[in-house]
Amino acid sequence: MAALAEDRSPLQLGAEGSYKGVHFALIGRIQIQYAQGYWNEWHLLFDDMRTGWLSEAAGQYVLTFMQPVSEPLPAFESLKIAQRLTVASQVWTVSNIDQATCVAGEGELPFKVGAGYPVATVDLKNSANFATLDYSETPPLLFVGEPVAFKSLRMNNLRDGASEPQQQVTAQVFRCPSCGAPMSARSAEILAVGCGTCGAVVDTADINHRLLTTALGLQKDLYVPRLPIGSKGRLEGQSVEVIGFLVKRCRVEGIAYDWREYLLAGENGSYRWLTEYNGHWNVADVLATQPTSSGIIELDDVRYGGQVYKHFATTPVAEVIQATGEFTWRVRRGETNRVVDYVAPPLMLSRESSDNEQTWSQASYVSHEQIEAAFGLRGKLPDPIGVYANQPNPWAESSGQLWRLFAKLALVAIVVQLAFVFLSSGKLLLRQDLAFDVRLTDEVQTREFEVQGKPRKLAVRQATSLDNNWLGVDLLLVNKATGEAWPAAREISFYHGYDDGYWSEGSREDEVVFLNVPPGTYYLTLDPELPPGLARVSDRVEVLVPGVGWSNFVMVMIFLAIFPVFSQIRRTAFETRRWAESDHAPQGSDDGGDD
Amino acid sequence: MFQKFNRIVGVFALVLFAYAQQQGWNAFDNVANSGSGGSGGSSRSYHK
Repeated sequence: MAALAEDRSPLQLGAEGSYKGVHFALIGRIQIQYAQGYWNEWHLLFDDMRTGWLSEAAGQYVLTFMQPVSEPLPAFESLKIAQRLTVASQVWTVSNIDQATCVAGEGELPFKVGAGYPVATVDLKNSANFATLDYSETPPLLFVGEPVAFKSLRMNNLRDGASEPQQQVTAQVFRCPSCGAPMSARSAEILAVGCGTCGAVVDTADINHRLLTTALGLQKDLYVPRLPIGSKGRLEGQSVEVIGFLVKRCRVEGIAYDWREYLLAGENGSYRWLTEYNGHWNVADVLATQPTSSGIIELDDVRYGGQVYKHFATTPVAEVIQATGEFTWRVRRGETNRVVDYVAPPLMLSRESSDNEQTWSQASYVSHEQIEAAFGLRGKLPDPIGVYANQPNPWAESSGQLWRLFAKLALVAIVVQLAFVFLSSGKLLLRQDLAFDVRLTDEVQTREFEVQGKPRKLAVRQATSLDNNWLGVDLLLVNKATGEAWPAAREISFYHGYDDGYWSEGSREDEVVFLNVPPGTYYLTLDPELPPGLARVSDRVEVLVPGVGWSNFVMVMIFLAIFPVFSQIRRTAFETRRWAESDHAPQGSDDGGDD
Repeated sequence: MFQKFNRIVGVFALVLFAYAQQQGWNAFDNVANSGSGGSGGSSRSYHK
């Protein structure tokens, strides 16, 4: 059996912890080597005599138990990344396919490691659980469990008394085999280092530091990271250091779109990502569990953490075109993967898949001012261009507030209007039928009517028998007691006929209003002017105190709605610009301006 | 600040609306004695 490779695991045989209230001890361990390095499988013995496995890779932990299955498990060769399948009554998605080798073991194990043996594994994920299909035995074995936080296991008796994973520095310092520039790798977890001078990428696990990717050649071809390698800052309350810088590229209709990604080393051996495109920044974390899809196709919404994310864009080929600094996997320039983005601003989920691995990450939009403040670069980062996929809509909050305010004010306006409608209904003061004759030489006087109480608004309505003719009427509202009078000259005309259909112009009826008429006894005089040819016309005259109108109500509602509608238009325009950059852009939208 | 401004403008519009309804104002009325503000203005004495 080969010796165990040194790693930065805080665990050791004899360490103890608890899972869901049951105490366990670490009684054995196997070490598995795969293309990107090593991972540990710790054999656990629980107090209730169950045994389980604690998988440990790059500071992430998954606890699983073997689960017997009655149905036959699918053949290893038949499985593909992102394939959905049902195993043990659960729906899973294939997230990782690996051909690894068990190279070493120690302690109590349910099998013999010997000189090592090949391990073909397939990882399955769903929204809550994790499973592994182990094809190193026939028939294959199924292990089902879940990702666990190290602290939640309450481990003790750790290696060197560590309370949690510590950064064990086993730094390497060497020279770039391509250009001779000095390079370094801070720990055993760093599997590749990109040369900032020539662009070559070096395998740090290889004793001769073999090149994973040759030099780029001309230095001017290299992107300069906006956050220099080695920059330290505080992001969301945690200390981080920029250790790696990637540039990725995709092509759409022949146009190359490049974006930058920064690998951050955080506290307790954690890693995070910062991404930047056109001045828009996101901080991203790899997810241990998988979002659930509301459908079966990629375009369907996905759910994660109680939030619904809409499909935004699919990038069939995202290619690494530059890698500088340290990386926890063997990154190669030219390596590609497929990226599918889903958005729920300010959050975004991204699914990256290659031939043998699928990972989900969650990104949160961060303003460039926040990045400047986090890394002490005030005023040095470029302003963002255009609208990014998960950029928060600046009008969303104000629009919502304005609509809520509108609802309250509109409710008050409705109550006020209804109060006026019920409290001030109209009152008819006079109705009299008159007839105007061409032989009439003097004005016509109506009966008297009373205006009571406070000064009133009076409406005088006329309904005539005009037919393709007009009538001029000089009205006079007269206060009988004082002789005070208010004149109003009215012209009423009504024409109609057939000319490719019925038409009409004007009206047989008319209304004129007198404001603030004091209380008293009144009458009207009407002095008609009849056109030649009109011998007689009847006119029904009504005088009334009109009820409350609705026009002011309509106007105040329109006025109150102006502000939220304006804000809504701005909000919608922002969303239109966002989605113009997506796979769901409206027909004919121009998305070239911001790029 | 913006929200406060909107609230003030909205309340002012409601007060104006209530006053207009109380006064019987209507932007679409054909007013014979507009600007009179009472029994004066465009009124005149009438003797038959």
